[in-house]
Amino acid sequence: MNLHLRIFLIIFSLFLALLVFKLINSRKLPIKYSLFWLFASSLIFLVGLIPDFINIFTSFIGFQTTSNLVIGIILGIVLIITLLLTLIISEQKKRITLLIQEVSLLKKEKKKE
Amino acid sequence: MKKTSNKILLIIPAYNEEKNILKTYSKIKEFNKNNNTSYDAIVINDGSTDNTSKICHENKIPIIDLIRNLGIGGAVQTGYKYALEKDYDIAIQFDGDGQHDVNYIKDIIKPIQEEKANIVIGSRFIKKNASTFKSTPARRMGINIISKVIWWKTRVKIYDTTSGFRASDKKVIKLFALTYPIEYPEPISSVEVINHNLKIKEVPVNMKEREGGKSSITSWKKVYYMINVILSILLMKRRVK
Repeated sequence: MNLHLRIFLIIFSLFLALLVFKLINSRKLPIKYSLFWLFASSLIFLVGLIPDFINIFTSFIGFQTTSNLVIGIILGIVLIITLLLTLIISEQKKRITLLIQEVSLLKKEKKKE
Repeated sequence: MKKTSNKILLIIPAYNEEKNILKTYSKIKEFNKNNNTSYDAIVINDGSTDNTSKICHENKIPIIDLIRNLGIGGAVQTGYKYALEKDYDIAIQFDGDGQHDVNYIKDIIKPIQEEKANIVIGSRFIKKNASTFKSTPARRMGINIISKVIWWKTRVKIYDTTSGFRASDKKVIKLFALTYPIEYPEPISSVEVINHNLKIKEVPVNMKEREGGKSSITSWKKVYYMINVILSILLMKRRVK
């Protein structure tokens, strides 16, 4: 794998990890969701540091080059995160619906008094 | 025998129905007066942007104003929650746009009063010429396909799968108050009822063409609607008690 790409991956993963830690510190990102991101950034870091570690998989899975596999891995991570987000949003939607219903019912009760 | 002391509530979901809502409510009042019945009604204003709420308040029509628009499923469920809270025996979904006829209410609550069904659907299709308004051919085809999917999945035949004219007993009120599909509510909630081993029945009713307002299912969304409904029904699990 190209040296430029390796350096880029390492810098990018460090930047990602730093951002995640900063968000945790400012309490914008709960630990629960940050674990997955930290895992993703360590994976990218490892690939940049020791490409041999994934070179074995490249031909095994059928990718032409290691860099393609790297893109594949990142795409996989993004897909999984998107699925998790859909789950979270659906749950939020349910709760918001419940809140709107209950508040509206309460308001109706209050008007009667 | 027929119990006459039932507490009956009409749930009227309304989104921008300023043209129809007063007429719909007056017809119910008039029916009560002429037939010595005491149907209560509650309008669920689904965050209308027109004068629906104002008209209801001015005319002393019982109304719950949802603080934000929820869509038909969320609005109707609010009605079921209200029915549960106020201990109603029968809750009836009744459209605010003039499609449903108050004269048929006695027919759709009869099987519940005789304890022959937990939920009764007012159907346009089960008797020949039962209804003068039977929807467009494309929509009828859609309803038919959903009907076949439900039959395949549950072995229960429902003909008018998208009818929003339905009466529920206490058990179903409780079920719907707890869990009600927010999207594509009619066919999916019917399957939900079957999956809970509750009895479903259809009776013929006449429906009119809507007097104003728009259907909640529009144009290109129809295909999307069909795919969603069919997939939901196929993936639903039977809840064994």
